[in-house]
Amino acid sequence: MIEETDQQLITRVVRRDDRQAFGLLVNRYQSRVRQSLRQWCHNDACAEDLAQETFIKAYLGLKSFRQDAQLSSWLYRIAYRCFADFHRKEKRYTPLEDETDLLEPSHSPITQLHQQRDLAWALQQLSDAQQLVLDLHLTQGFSQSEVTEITGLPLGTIKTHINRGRDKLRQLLHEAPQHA
Amino acid sequence: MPNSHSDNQDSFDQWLDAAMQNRSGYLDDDGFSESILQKLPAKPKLSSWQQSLIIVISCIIGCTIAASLISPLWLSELTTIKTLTWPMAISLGAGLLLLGSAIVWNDREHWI
Repeated sequence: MIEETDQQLITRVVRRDDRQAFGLLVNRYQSRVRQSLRQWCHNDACAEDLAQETFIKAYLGLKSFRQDAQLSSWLYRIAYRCFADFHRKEKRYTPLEDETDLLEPSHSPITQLHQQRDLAWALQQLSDAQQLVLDLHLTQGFSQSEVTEITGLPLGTIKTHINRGRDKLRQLLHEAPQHA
Repeated sequence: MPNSHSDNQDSFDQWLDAAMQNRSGYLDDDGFSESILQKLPAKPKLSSWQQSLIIVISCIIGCTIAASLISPLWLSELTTIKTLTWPMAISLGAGLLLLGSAIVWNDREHWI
């Protein structure tokens, strides 16, 4: 059986309020969105709430979705807004500011751990904004301009976050011989 | 070797790109989609066609009452539309035509 495209499913949802079609869309994107939110939030329960909010807002706003746009970047834009709103209320995160206050690791466990664990640890040393931008760009594969669209940050800021994030990761991981 | 620094940087960047892409495995749905569907706002009880039908019937009843008030003979004698004055007939027909067009336009997706 041929899998329906995103566009076909969206058409079914918008024109006939076909909820089964929307369920298929949710199922298609839930993994990416939930994982990203988990990485941004550092809290699974909070990430699940925000993921639910993201998809419900997507359903409500699907009529305004531009047919020529990419559904994944539109969903991520909603997810990012949910995340930013939540943290703005919590006063724990200010995504529109340039963040340069990187935490310095108190110790370096790099040489003793495996690569992915090293990377996970190193990523945690980056600022929230750098983690988020690197997740969108490197893990989710969005281009820099798409990251700009999703976050609303200027392209220059996105590039800065990516370059500083890479530099910091290089600095943190360079001691491990398997990485270089 | 003059390029060793940039070579190292390139190889680190390549490694980082691959490692970041491999970070996220698939997260099982585990009832997530179903929970979303349950939290969506309730569907309207009447379909758009049912709503349209109610509007059409209401309109016809309203027009009939208006016509009977203006020309009571039309109902009592059960004559044809000729007994209505021309302006009344034209406005009734135009109104129904407009309403029908609006309904068809509103529900055009059902025809595709």
